[in-house]
Amino acid sequence: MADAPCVIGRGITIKGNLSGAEQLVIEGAVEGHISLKNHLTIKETGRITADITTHSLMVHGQVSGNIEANDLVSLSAEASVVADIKAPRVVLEDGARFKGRIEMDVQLPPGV
Amino acid sequence: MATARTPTTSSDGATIIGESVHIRGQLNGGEDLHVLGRVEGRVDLERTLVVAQSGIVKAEVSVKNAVISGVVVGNIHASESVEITREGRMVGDIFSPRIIIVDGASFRGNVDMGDIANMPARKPSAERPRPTPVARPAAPVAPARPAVTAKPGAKPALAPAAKAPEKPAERAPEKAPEKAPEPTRPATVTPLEPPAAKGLPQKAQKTRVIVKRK
Repeated sequence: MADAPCVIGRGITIKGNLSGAEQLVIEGAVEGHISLKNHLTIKETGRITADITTHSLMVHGQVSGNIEANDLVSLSAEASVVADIKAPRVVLEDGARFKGRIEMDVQLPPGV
Repeated sequence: MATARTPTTSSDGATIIGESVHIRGQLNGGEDLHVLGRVEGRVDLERTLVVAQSGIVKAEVSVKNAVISGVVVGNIHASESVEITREGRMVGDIFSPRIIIVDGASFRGNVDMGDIANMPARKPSAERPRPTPVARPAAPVAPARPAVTAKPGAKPALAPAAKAPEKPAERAPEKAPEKAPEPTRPATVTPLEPPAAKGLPQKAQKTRVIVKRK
């Protein structure tokens, strides 16, 4: 199917820029920049040292870099992430290891 | 009827700061604290701070656990865990080894879990040091305190639903790529119910602090 996501296997290491418009699953290593207009999944074996710009992101593996997403960024219980995250929705599952800054829109009640 | 009610402690003995109560200053304690009203200043607790949906805490907070369903502005230091639920909104920094942010929550600030590189992966069985969730006081206490029930009333529905789909949903993208864009949705509402029972045994030894409603 055309819908099947592109997979970067666990034996692959990419250094440089990675961009695209389709779904991507990373099981290997990427260093550099990732710019995606779709959903990005970083598997348990994935190791990313890169700034990531994407529509949405699911992390099970390791990421270090800055993350910016148009929708959801989700760090699963296996994730280990050192990054600043900017996205309208950020989810930190129980067990996820994270260090950095999270920027969502926070609507505070008046007077607070 | 409503006038006779003094929502002072929940069924498990936690102190409740009622919706119309506004405290400014320093608040220390050795028991759970549920904030339905407003607290400004400083909060130091040996146990759990629960900020209900109507609650506003504008303070430097130092606790064992924190569960945020309302608004928190300020930094939180928690020796065990911090959870921001679906309704929770927070601006400030969090220092805690265990931090959970549920989908729907909004947060702006820094997160520091300590040395994450050497942090052992958490066993799925790790029990949650969870205090009474915000939803809980509403149900059991409902008959006695009508007014308090009205407000968090919407809550109970969301937590229980989430448990089952959690694991399957997480793996879904591997086999069903079409679903990938929203793989985490169901997994994100962290169920609070089960550990609630843990809070119960301690009730006997607690001192009751009475906060009168206006």
